[in-house]
Amino acid sequence: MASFEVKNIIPIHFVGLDLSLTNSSLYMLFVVGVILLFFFIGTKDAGLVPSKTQCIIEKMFFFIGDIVKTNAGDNGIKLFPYMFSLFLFICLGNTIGLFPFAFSFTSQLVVTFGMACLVFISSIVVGIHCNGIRYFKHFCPDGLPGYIIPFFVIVELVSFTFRPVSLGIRLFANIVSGHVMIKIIAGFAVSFAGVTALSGFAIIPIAFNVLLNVFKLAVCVLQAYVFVVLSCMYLAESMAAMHEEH
Amino acid sequence: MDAMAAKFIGGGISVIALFGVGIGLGKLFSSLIESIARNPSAKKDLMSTGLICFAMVESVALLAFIVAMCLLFVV
Repeated sequence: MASFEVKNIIPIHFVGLDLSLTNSSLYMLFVVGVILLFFFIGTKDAGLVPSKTQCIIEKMFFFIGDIVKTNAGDNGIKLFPYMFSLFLFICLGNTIGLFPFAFSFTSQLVVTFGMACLVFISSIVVGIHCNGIRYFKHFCPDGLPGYIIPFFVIVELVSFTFRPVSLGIRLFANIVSGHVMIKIIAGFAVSFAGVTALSGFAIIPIAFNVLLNVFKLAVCVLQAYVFVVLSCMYLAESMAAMHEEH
Repeated sequence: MDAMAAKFIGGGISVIALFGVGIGLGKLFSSLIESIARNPSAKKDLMSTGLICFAMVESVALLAFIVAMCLLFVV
């Protein structure tokens, strides 16, 4: 489908790597620019009595702050900058795809999977940083009977490595399926309008599409929220993995 | 049976997963509504947990969707 095609805009090749500027990366830069501009305007003359833009920014700030605090505790406030930027990036990346002719970069599996892998790797790094080598005891807790250890380790390892996969695919699939659904329903409208006797009925799929767009908007924000909550939970878990044993 | 027909049948079979997803979503939201009705003051916490669970269940449906799309257009 045309809205999922990655096109090369400026081809850049650097020591055998393809670093071309595509429409995907262009939209990423655009989203980052929008976020930066919005925050620059909102916090330019920040005061005790907030302006309208500052109100929105404070609301978002406390929203993510609440998520981080409930999932990771007071200690997890170090995660806040990462989670905040992740949320804004994903949320805007999802919603930008709702504009006509726009490209939603979260509909590329490589983007969502990359972000999920970043969370996964940083959860391992944070776990080793906070707990040292004892972090790996998380896969093999004390007090297990000997015969069950191999199974337990395998099951834990599989569920652990499946995390980034499910995290990435969830976001990707939600965005793609929304786009495909809108396209299919719009196709109904076109084929209804093609038949003269039924052309009046074309209003039904169009009305349904409007509803679907509203639903999609909710899904876009919800998916960004879910992504952030889950990655927050994973990071908090590895931060606190062995705290009980101290 | 030629390969094209098998593709379509496979795509149809792969969305049987929606059966379970429907049951799961129904159960999830029925208990969510019930618990909010029992204790309206806990609505905020319940809603966030419910939404996360909703996304989890929904992702199963989307996996089925992806399998169907792969069968129809990729394979």
